Amino acid sequence: MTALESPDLGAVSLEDATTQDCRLAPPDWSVRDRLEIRWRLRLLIAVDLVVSVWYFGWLLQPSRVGNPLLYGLLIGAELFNFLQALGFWWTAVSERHRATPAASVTAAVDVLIPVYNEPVEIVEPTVLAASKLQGAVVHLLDDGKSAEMQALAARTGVHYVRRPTSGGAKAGNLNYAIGTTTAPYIAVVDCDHVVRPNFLEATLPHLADPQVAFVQTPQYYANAHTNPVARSSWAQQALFFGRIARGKDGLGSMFCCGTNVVFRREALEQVGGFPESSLTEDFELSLRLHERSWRSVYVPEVLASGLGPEDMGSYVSQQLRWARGCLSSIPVILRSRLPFTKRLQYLLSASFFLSGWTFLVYMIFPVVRIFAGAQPLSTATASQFLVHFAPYFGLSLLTVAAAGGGAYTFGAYSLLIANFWIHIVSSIMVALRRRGSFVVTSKQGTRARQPRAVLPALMMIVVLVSAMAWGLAHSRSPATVNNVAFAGLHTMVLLAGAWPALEGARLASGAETVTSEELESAA
Amino acid sequence: MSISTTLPEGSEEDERYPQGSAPTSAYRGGTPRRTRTLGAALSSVVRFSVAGPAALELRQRLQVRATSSRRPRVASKPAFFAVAVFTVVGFVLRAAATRGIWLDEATSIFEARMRYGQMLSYLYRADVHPPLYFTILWLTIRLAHSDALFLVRLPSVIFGAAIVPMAYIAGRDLFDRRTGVVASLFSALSPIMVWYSQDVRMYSLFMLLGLVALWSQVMAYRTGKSRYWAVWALSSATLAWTQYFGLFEVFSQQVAFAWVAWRDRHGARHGQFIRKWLLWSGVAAALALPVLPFAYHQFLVNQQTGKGFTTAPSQPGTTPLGASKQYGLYAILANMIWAAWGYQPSRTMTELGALWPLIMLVGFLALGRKPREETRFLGVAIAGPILLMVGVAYFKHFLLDVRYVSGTIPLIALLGARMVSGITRRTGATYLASGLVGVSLAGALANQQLNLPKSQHYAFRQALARVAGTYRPGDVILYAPGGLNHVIKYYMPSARTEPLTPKTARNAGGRNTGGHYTFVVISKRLVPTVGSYRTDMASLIAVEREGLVRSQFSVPNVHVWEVSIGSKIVKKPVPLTGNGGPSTPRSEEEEREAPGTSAETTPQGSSSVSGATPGTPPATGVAPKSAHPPVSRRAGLPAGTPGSPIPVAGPAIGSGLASSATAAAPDAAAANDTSVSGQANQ
Repeated sequence: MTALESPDLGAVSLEDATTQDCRLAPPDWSVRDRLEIRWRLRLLIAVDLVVSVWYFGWLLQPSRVGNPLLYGLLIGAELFNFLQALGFWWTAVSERHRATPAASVTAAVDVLIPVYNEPVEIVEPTVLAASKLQGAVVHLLDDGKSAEMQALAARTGVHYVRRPTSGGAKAGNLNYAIGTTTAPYIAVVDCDHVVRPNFLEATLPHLADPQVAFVQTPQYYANAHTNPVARSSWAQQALFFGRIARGKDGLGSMFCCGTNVVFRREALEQVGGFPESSLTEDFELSLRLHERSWRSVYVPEVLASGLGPEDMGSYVSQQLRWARGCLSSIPVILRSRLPFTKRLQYLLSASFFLSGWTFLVYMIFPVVRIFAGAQPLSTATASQFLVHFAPYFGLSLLTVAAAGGGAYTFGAYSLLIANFWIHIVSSIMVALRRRGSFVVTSKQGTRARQPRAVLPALMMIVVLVSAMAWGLAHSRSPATVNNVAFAGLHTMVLLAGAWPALEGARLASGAETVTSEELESAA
Repeated sequence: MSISTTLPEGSEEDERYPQGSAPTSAYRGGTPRRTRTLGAALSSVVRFSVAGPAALELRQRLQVRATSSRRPRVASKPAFFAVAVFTVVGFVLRAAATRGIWLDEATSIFEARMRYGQMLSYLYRADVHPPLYFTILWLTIRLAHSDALFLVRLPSVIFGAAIVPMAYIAGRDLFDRRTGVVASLFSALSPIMVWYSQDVRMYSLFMLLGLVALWSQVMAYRTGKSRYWAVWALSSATLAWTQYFGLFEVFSQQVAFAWVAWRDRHGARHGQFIRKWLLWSGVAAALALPVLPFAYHQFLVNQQTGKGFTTAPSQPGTTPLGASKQYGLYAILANMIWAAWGYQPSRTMTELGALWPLIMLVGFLALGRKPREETRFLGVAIAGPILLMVGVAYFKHFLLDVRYVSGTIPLIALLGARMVSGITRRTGATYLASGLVGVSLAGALANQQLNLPKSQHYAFRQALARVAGTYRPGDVILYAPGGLNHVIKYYMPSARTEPLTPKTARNAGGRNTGGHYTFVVISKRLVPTVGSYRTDMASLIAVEREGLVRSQFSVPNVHVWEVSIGSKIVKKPVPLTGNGGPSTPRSEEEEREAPGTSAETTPQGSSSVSGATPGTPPATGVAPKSAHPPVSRRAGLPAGTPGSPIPVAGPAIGSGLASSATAAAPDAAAANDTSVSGQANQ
């Protein structure tokens, strides 16, 4: 075994290097924030506003009302998405570009790594990387009460924490550790996130401002290159941790995302730690901190590399948790004493998880038109509709593409659409006050097919395809063909989004090793 | 995040550019600006964590793995074979024309029949196009000593077929071999390319030059080699000599060059690029310069004669989507459909137009795909001319026509090939997607060629074949619009022709020419709906009201009246009889040209119409005036072919003419599409 000196992680072996996972690679994501890009985006948004007025000015005319119910649904969906778009544009133009503080700060930091039955090989690089941080005291918070994890802690020389109770899920685990530690700063790192050596150097200086409660950094998915679900999932994340998070930072509304974050102990203690009753403890914690006039900082630099969900089941469970947590926070946001801007920002983020309803509305329109002949609009020719809708649609898409710096992909979009039902189920559960349980997102994907994870999408596809077949069998009128095309569009997007669940065998893990067989076959 | 859109180092482009110039410009200098790839990322893993000889070994191992995941290559030999097959298929498809000539083609032939100097002079005084294509056509006729239809179309066929291998070369050099093969397949089957490759006009040359100009532009920028710059300059100048709208292409390319010049202004070899760009642009300008006074004079003459940009040139007509005569998104959509799937019958166009939501899918698919440099050049070369055309057409609606930007059509095929081959790294998926697109193109091509769309097809050949069956020395053919004379003279060189005017119309039934009939041949769509046309029509209506019209018939976009000279045959309106007569609105199927109506031999004389069907029963209700039996009017049409001549009441024609002269509203265009035959049946 040849020992080689790594500039960043210390001594690792060649064997380790061949088997080490993608989290050790440098991140393949950077924030492009050149001035001309910012101005280009602002110009796009300005034009977008004009064409939006053009479209809605036409759409909201009373003479457009076709079937009143369908028209109401259309207007509701369109206005909801327009408000989301407005919020997005507002956030995007408010982005803040923080200069890296020159002064280096050294302080004692407790690094908390909560684990719950994750594989040791996933956790080990995380613990190793955290233990190299200067001034850090690493605590492995094992809620799974695993002997292997205890052995890992002993092997790597970090504190092993096993709490006597198990309530409050991740929040409870963290709160227990906060009570047993003393450092003025607390870093929270998920067990699959390998921090970079400069993690504390890049974040601690921002905490020099006594009003700053926490410093959040991106949640980068290093396995985006090897796994289609992780890739699409990261593409969604990239839009958030890019333009949106920078915008929220500019508006003082960046919330904690649960990992890769450094807190001021004083702030945490003031709000009583992480709220244990919420599925999105990080979101509600941020809200409480902002309510008490604490500030947050976002550093748009990848300082830790993690693993995104590697199969559809993991993605669904993650999204269900986020959706239910955020939607259940809406009443809290509305009741909060947050300033208007921050409240609006929180509302925008939380209400995003209602988008699935609008996708459902759009998908049922062609089905209703084909089967029942009813449509939301009347006295409008296709030409009129196109003239007003096409610029609105095209520019909105262009703005998303430009704002995301090319990170937001069709895969991300189709994955979102194919899981439209998550938003619907979550909002119903929240409305019915059904409590959900905290399900830890799996860190390793399965290679099996998971059609059940996309069953609602598959059912919707069946409905759409049936409508298309029925429509074409009964009429070739332009209106029918047009609605068949819409149904076809929805079908293809749904299919693309659901596809990774239907071809499980191709899903590769981010921690996949390079085997000699693979090398030989490749050669 | 562009792992699926870029090729890693060492991909097949690199083989052809060992200096590493393939993926980026030769002028940028410094490290080639490439998007990070899986290979690069994996290499970085090693750089990040290990060093020394062991690291090198590991890096090589990982690189092997990384490169194994890139898009598989298409081997050279199979690619060559495939492109050869596609080229032959493309040539055969282009050579197998199913339609006769129309107005513009007849004009081209008419001009190319002149002496060269006379032709240039005529072009200078009376045409609106640059002389290069006409020179080629002139040479073809002189070399072949014939103006047979196949021969006069041959240059267009050759230029059109040449697009197929050129698309491969461009696809291979700009992207990869697979894209090249798919591009050549799309080009071979592209209905619109096939259509204009059968047109005795300059459009297939325009397409070829557009493709060559784009290819040479990218290669010149990428490699900096003078031979590519020379080809670029030559093709740019030739574009100007071929079609004045080619200047849109040239302008767009200059914009692309200006953009990269500004962007790379700090590059190490920026100065060298600027020098070459200016030098070769100067060469192109010098080569194109002589055509400018030519163009200017043509413009002035056309303005003075009330043509030019004040009236529309001969137009292919409207479609149910309202193209050509209307301006709007649907008209643009119609042109997009034409560019992709060619000219289709009305119903197909309507259905294709209704599929516009699928365009949204293209927008979604484009999300997150960072275009390569080559794709950006391609995008500018496509979007530039189209946007310019749409802008100009805002003021002159008739310019919104795909043929004026036909130089972009092979580029659209190339972009389509790039999208299909780049959308996935899986070979099977690429073949499947290419196959599906290919099948759709083949289907559209078959539909276009076999069901010649009424929006584009002018059945002069059928009409004149029938006229020739009745025509006797002394008969006169009145025609409108003016350019129709060239068509008549091509198919019936010895026929006596006169333009339709109030005077000739009034005299139609009372001539003393020794003939029996006056034929009035009109293509309503091609004549202006203002001015003298109304007067002409009024005169004709008057003649018809006098009961002098012996019979009439319609074929797609052409209407023919047969006026008896010297006596009135039909005094009172006669109810329409017959099945599928000329005045009956027809289905698309009925619009097809019947087999056997071919008039390839008619240029030699009116008596040589082929495919005459002896023994066809005479049309009922017609009292033969002359010795020529009515059956002769069916010459060229086999028994049972719709469109047999029947007597029609006078007033009915008048009302039909009056109403059909009005412009078609876009939503009513489908109904208007059959107005020539349909409204006369009222």
